[in-house]
Amino acid sequence: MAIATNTVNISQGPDPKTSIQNERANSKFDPVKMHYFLEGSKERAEELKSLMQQMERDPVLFTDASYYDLTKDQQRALTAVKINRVSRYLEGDSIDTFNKRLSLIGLFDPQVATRIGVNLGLFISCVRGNGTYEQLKYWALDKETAHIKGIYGCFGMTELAHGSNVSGLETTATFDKDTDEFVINTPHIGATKWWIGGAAHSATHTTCYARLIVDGEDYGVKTFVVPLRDSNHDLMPGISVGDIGSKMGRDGIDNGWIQFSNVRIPRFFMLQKFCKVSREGKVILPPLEQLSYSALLGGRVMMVLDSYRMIARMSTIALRYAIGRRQFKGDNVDPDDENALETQLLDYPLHQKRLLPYLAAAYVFATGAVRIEQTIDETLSDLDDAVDQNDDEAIMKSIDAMKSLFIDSGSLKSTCTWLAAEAIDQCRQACGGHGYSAYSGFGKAYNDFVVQCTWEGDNNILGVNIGKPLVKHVLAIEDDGKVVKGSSSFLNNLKQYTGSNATNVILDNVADLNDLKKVAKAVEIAIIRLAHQAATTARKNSLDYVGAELVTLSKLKAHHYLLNEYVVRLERFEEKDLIPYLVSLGRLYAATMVLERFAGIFLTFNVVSPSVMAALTSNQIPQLCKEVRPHVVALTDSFQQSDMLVNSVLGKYDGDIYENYFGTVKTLNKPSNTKAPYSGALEAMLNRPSIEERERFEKTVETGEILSR
Amino acid sequence: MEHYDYTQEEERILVTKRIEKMSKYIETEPTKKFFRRLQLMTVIDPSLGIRMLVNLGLFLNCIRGNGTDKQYEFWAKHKEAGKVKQMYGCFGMTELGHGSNVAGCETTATFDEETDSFIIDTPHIGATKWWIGGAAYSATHTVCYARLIVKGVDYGVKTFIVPLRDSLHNLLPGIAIGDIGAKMGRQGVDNGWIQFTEVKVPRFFMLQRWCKVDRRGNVTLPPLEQLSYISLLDGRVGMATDSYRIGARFTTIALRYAVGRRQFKSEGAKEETKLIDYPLHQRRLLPLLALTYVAAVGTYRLELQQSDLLANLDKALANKDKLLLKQSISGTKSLFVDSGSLKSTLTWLAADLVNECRQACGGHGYSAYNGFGKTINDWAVQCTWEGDNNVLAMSTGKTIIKTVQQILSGKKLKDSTLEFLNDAPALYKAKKAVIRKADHVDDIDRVLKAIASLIVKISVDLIPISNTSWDSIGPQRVILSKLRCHYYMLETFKEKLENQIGANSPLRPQLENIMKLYLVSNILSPFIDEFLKNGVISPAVAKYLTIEYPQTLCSEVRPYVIGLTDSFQQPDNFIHSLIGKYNGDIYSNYLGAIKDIHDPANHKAPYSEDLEAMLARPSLVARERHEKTAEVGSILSK
Ligand SMILES: Cc1cc2nc3c(=O)[nH]c(=O)nc-3n(C[C@H](O)[C@H](O)[C@H](O)COP(=O)(O)OP(=O)(O)OC[C@H]3O[C@@H](n4cnc5c(N)ncnc54)[C@H](O)[C@@H]3O)c2cc1C
Ligand SMILES: Cc1cc2nc3c(=O)[nH]c(=O)nc-3n(C[C@H](O)[C@H](O)[C@H](O)COP(=O)(O)OP(=O)(O)OC[C@H]3O[C@@H](n4cnc5c(N)ncnc54)[C@H](O)[C@@H]3O)c2cc1C
Repeated sequence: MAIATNTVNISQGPDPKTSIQNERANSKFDPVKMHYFLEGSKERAEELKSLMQQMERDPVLFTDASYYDLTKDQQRALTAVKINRVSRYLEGDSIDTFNKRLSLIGLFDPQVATRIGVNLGLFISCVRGNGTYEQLKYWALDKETAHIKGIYGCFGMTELAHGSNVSGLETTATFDKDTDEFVINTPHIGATKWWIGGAAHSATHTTCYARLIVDGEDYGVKTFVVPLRDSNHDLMPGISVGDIGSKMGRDGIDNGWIQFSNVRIPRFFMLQKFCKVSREGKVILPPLEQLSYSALLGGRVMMVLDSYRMIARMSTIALRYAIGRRQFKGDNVDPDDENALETQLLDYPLHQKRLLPYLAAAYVFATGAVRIEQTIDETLSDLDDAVDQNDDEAIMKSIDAMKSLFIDSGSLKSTCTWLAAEAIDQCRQACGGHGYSAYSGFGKAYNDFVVQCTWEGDNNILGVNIGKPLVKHVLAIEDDGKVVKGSSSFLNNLKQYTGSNATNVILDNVADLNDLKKVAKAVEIAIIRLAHQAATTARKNSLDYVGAELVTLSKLKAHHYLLNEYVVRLERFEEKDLIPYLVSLGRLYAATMVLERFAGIFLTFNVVSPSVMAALTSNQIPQLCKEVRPHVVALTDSFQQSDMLVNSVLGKYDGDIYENYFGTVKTLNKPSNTKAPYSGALEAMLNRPSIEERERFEKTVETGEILSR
Repeated sequence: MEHYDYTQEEERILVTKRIEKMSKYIETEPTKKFFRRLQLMTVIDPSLGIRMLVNLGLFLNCIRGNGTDKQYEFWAKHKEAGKVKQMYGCFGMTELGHGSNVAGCETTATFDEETDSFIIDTPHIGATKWWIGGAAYSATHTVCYARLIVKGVDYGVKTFIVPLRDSLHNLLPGIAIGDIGAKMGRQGVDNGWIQFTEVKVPRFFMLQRWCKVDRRGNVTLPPLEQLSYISLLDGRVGMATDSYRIGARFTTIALRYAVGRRQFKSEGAKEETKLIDYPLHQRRLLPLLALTYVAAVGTYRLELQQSDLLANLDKALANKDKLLLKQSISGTKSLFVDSGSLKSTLTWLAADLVNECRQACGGHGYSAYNGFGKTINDWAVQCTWEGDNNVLAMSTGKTIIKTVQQILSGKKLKDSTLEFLNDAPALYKAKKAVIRKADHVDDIDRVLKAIASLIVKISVDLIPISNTSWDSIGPQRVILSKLRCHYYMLETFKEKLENQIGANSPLRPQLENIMKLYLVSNILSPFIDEFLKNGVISPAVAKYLTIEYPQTLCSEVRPYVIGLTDSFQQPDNFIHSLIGKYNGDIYSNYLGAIKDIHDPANHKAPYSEDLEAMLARPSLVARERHEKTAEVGSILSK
């Protein structure tokens, strides 16, 4: 029986489309409204969508599967063309709108976003954070950098030998009193600026992190604006720049190395909001060193948002696939029914457990990301006001707020980017072999994303830096009865949960698992007890000795923040009919990402009883998965990511997996090319003469006889 | 190093050249030696490895496993496929719609009695053969997995040799083939799709060691279906070994870097601290080093287990030795479990290992020239192909649960690697925690017993559920499979240590520390929640075991990391990483090579004009033809 539709088939093939569309038709809620929850408000959601539409229609920015075939050189050139295009939008956008635009670009073409980000984000933020208002105005506005015009900045912090330890950088900026200039030098190979995004071919200027040296005295690392290329885009004298070449991902960015050899810049090219050098060489130092690193906080906050969007995108692909794809006849199929279809992957409990926690995480991260973004905006503008008005009291208050922001953004950045990287990998694995096709989107997404775990604060170091103050607080509470303020104030309950109270179980009833506030409380107690244990060990050794525990503390701290914010957001959300779905997701997140993942800690420190923990695995999680399962299509549709944004042959909205996939593969790899460019070599190999012949019959028995005569 | 810059096409050309070279070795050296060579080459060039193995491994093993001796001899020897000559085989199992569920494949092979041939067909898009390594451009033949249909009856999936290209390397009629294009990794392999439209092959092209169709269409079915999948085990065993070697390569890079790289100064210190001297860094990397050591020994045992089995099976069949055949069949079952649990557990762990090592090298780990990116991308598929890890682990877990159930109802295992579960009744009943004092972990037998207890306790809890639904306990089955792998590895390492390393050998203390670090950081710690929930480890020692003890062991191992990694004896061209070279001169190696590859004299990009035009563009007002200015406004509003 041959059937001709768009193609001729001998029998009925798989029909993934119908599964997905049926489930969509049975949705119980409106994804558009759910999207308001994810993006914080209706207005924000609508604005994002209109930006998305603009880019989807844009002839230059539009991206499809052919993107995955580009070589490094092609990626670089295309990225430059796209930046050019984006710069035209930029001229009309408000900063806020532009940030949203960039965040969306970061999802479907991260190298464009980053290559812009090193300029508008890092370079300008650095000028903003460290420079005076006039310096900012000059470079960003008068010289039009903010419109990607005139000047292209890059961020010259990292060196070959120093990355994490910024205060150990070795580039020097020596004040030359005679000429009123700084002389910038790379004293040795280790001080070569390295990884600098945009340096290889794009940047005209860099903010150079260098040691300020005046009259032989080293004042530590400060920031200087150093021109790299003139207005003809030729390198300035004394500047050596090179391409650092291929990377694991983000090959569309021209990361470079820079060496400075006696490069002179005017004194007023030093960014001098906090630290100043006078004409006579007198140095005034900043009140709080930390303030000058505030340039990095914006990036960290952005990465929390990136993590949410990336998990949303990846889980959309893997979940649509898991609904369309069928494999084996599982327990849910009647073995006597010969016509029964195979089981949808997502109906396997294992598959649910592998994927649904990421779906839940996307929802929870979304709320956390929106919240922390608001916080940084407020904090930075408060600080700017305070500094402008020279209001010491307000400055101190801002500094406190900055410290909290430091902790929250650091723990969130590291925890969320780690989980997002993992989510990409797990979603890929959940799509089996097809996840390995470049056109599925996973490979590039993974390669591009994982650097988020390393740059702008290596995740482990951030973890240590978040964990340390927690443990130090515990030590201070024990030793001096210190009272902790801010978001870690729960540590003040130390005595209540340690010592003779160390065995009081917090979650000892299965019903507690449904109470998100109780779970958040349990996380608090786990932090207290683990920090206490770490403090005890640290007394004998050092804080570094408990590095691994510090990282765990930081992760717990992030989950604590996220859980609490999610609860708050649920309480405020107006669309009450959506709440039950959101509650299930919140519980699933708490159960899998928090309780089960850190089960060893919760059990070891008696925070959760073994029987509750056993029930968590055997009942709670499977039950929650079952609750979420019927709504999966709607829950992923709620991310409102169009096909262009998702850019995956496996994850398109229409669910027609095989046709989409095969169609793209055939379009991008013409089957009419039946021979490879190297086919000649292959054929010659297969059709080679026998080894005897190729040895000129020199080793044959006959020859042997001749030769041994 | 330039290889890390290659495009897909360049990589494929390079791999072709390498295959050509390798094809000369295979003509002159013993099979065993050649495969060792290929295994080593695979560490450097995984695309090369698999592109040769689809032919020499999958294709030929499939013929060997499913074909008669004569069939094997004809294609492998007479037609010289075994020497990569005349023919090039590929392995046509997976379809667009079916991968894990091989029995669900939909390609058909219909017997045509009139012409005494099979007609191979792809009935619809879902049955398109997909992912077939070598199909796009290299292969002349495939073993095609297709449903045997005789007189309207569907006998399930069998294997057939189907020629794809003629001796001039042109596609045969009825064969449609295409390149599946870009992949996450292994770009050097020409994976393809194949569609068959009324392709005729002679009846004797069906591989008929187990299943036969005679001239008149009578079908004889195989005695034990499992035996026909034995050809897949070779690949699984190989991947377990690959995991060890890749682990060795990347722990070497990350540890050399960690010893050479300094970051942050502690108070009062002259120099910055070496990364490796941070306890956190030790906790991140040294457990991986320990894992690699243990995997080296464990996977070698697996290799021997497999080669013994194959030899016995051949002997049993040749001599019609029933007893040996029976033993071989239970050996096959054991190998299914062991290779399945080791393949899945170790390929996963190796993927984690490379990723962690990359992160431990900070930004430099992201440079293509340090090897991580390409390896992660090439490696990832090991977790998916030749048995998806989750699917494999679930099947291992299932066997374990069934075995425990049988033992509890009185059966005693013999000739099985699961014999250690014979104590299940006692282990299950035991009330006291197996590990309840700190020094209990020093007793390896006790630790083994703890793992066995945990396996038994988890299994026993699952037995009742398994009666109604195996699917619902999928996650726990995966855990069981992982535990089984670790039991196997620990047991093997301990025996090797006891039998081959003298009590006074200077290696002894090192290897003991390695073993302890392995067991605490790769078994007890990651599964501590299971151990605690099931009462196998008492809560009182859990804190010590998971926090203090691993750090103590790390400090013991720390001084020897260079020796321990040099012991892998992987030369620089093998390690293939600028920051991981033997001489340790990280920064000059790195900058030097990068300057060689990317001459700084090219300081303008090929697309520089675009950039410059963007930066130098006229003002917005000018580009808008001054149409929106206040002056124009006043004109237009007149
Ligand atoms: C693609 C890419 C683009 C980049 N772009 C820019 C850019 O535009 N401008 C710029 O200035 N920089 C850039 N960077 C550099 C980036 O910011 C650094 O790589 C990052 O800060 C990490 O520093 P590192 O590489 O020196 O790692 P290292 O500091 O060498 O760290 C290596 C490892 O050691 C561990 N470690 C270090 N110190 C400790 C400690 N005290 N305790 C425990 N563990 C420790 C870390 O966790 C890490 O795993 C980029 C990097 C990449 C990969
Ligand atoms: C680079 C590459 C090369 C390849 N080369 C070849 C080749 O040369 N020849 C060849 O024949 N094949 C080849 N393959 C195919 C490969 O063997 C399959 O991809 C693999 O067997 C997995 O099958 P699948 O892709 O259909 O995954 P699926 O079976 O679709 O699995 C998808 C996901 O569902 C899960 N899942 C499936 N069933 C269940 C279940 N019952 N319960 C719970 N979860 C389940 C799996 O864990 C997986 O995560 C290749 C694949 C790749 C990526």
